[in-house]
Amino acid sequence: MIDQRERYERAFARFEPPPDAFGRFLTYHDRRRQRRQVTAGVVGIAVFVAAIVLVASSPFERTDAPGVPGAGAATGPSVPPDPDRASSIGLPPEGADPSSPERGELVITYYGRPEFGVLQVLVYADGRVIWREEYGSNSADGISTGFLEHRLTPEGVELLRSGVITSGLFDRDHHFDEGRNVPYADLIWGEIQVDNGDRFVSVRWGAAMGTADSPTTPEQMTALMRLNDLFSDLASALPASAWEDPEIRAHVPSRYAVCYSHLQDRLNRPLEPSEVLNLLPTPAEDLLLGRDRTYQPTNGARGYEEVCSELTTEEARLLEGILRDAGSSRHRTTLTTGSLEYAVPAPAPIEEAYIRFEPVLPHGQWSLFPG
Amino acid sequence: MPEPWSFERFFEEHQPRLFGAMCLITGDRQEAEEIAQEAFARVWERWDRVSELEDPAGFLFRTATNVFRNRLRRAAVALRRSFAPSPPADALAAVEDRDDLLRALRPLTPRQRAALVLTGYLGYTAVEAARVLGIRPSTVRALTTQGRSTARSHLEAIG
Repeated sequence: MIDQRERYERAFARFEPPPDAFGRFLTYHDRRRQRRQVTAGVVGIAVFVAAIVLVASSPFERTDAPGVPGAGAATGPSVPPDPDRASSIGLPPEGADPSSPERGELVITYYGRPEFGVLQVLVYADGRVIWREEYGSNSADGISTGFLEHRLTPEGVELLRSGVITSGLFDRDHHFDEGRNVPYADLIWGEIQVDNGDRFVSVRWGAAMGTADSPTTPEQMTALMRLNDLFSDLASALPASAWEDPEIRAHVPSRYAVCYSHLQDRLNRPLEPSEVLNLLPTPAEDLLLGRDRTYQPTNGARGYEEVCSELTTEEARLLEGILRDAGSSRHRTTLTTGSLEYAVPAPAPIEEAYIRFEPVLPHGQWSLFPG
Repeated sequence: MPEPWSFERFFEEHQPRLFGAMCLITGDRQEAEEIAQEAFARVWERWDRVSELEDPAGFLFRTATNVFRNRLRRAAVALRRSFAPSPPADALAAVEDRDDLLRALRPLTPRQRAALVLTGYLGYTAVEAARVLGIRPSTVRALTTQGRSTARSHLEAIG
C-alpha cells in the first residue's frame, strides 16, 4: 500500500500547478459569489411571480402533474434547530430524553441524492419524521446532520402519504432511469418506499440503484423532481397545520448497534464478532459478548448485512468510555453518517478493525449510507 | 468568517496534490483546476467547522470527488445532446511519459481512473468510493479490476 501511495505521489508531482494558484482561486471565488448573487436575485423574482400566480389560482385544480401535498396553503414554520439540542453526531449527552415511543412503524422512506449530498427521510405512523443529510443547512459538523427529528400530526402523516401515492408513480414497483430521454433531466438517484395499506411500494431512479426497468417520461420526471423537492424540505412544503411539533431536534435513540467492519477490500467478507472482541479490553468484551444480532440496513443496501451487538444508550456510553480510556484506539465521527467510530489495531491481514456506534431506529434497524 | 491565513496555509499545502489527483482522474488540466477551485470554495464556506475535523484534507478530497462526479453526470447528459463531441485534451499526454503509473492510467476511462485513485491512493474502501462516485460498491470493484487489467495490457503492449 505504501509503495502504491508513493507511486501516486510521484505521479502527482509531475503535474505542475498553475502559477499563483491561490490568487486564481480568490478570483474564482469572487466570480462564484457574484454568480450566486445574480442567481439568488433571479430565483427571488421567480418565487415572487410564482406566489402571485398561486394566489390567483387554486393548486388543487391543476391536473397536468401530480401536486405536492398542501401546496398553496400556509406552509409550516421552519424552526431552526437549537445548536445545543440539534446535534446527533456521536452519542447523546447524558440526561437527553430518548425519542418516544421506543418502537415505531414505518410509513414512508426516502433515500437518495436530490442534490449535492445524500438525504434520508423516515416517516413513522406515530408522526415522527427522522432524517439526516449530507452538506445540509442543519449540518452539525459541516458534513452530516446526524439524525434529526420533528413530528407530524396523524393528519399530516396521511396528507404526506396520500400525496406520495397520488403522484401517479406508485401503481406498482418501478425503477426509472435518471431521465436520459428527457431534455434537461437532472435526477441523480434515489428511492421512495410508501406503505399503500397493503405493502410497501418502491419507486427507484438512477443507475446507482441498479438497472432501470423503464425509461422515464417527461411527466414521470416532473413527478419525481417534485417528490425530490418535497422531501428535501418537508418543513416548508407541508402546511403548518400538518405539524404537531415543527421544532427540529436531535434524534435521541434508545439503543445502539455496535457494529464491526474493516478494510473491506482486503478480506471481502464481514468480520466475525469474535475477531474483534478478542482485540478489546476485557470490560468492553464483557459488554458485547453474546449480544449479537444481524441487521439489514434499510434503504439502498440490499444484500448488505452486518452482525452487531445491541446495547442501550447507557451501555453504549460505558463502552465508549472504555475504548477512549484504553488509549490505543483513535476515534472519529465518520464523515457522512455522523456515526461514532473507533479504530482498533489488529493483526494482519486485518490490520485495523473499526467499531461503529449506529443508532437503532424506531423500526428496529440501523441505517447506513452505503452508496 | 473564515480565518484567511489559516485557510491559505491549508490551500498551499493541499492544492498541488489535489490538482494532481484531479489531473489523473479527469485527464484535463483545466477541468482539474476548476474542480479543485470549486472544492476549495466549498471548504472555505465551512472552514470554521472543517478546520476542526480530524481530517480536513479528507473532507477536501471527498468534496472534490463529489464535484467531479456531478460534473461527469452533467457532461454525460450534455454529451447525449451534442452532435459531435470533441475529446478533451488529455493532461496525461502533456506530461513527460517516464512514469509507469501515468502511462498505465492514460487509456482508462475517467470512472476507472477515479475508482483507482480513490481506492489506491486516497485509501477509500469500495463502499466509501461508491458513495462518493454515486455508484454501487460492486461497480467500484469492477471498475478497479477492469482498470488494472486495461492498464496492465496497455503497458505490456507498449513495452
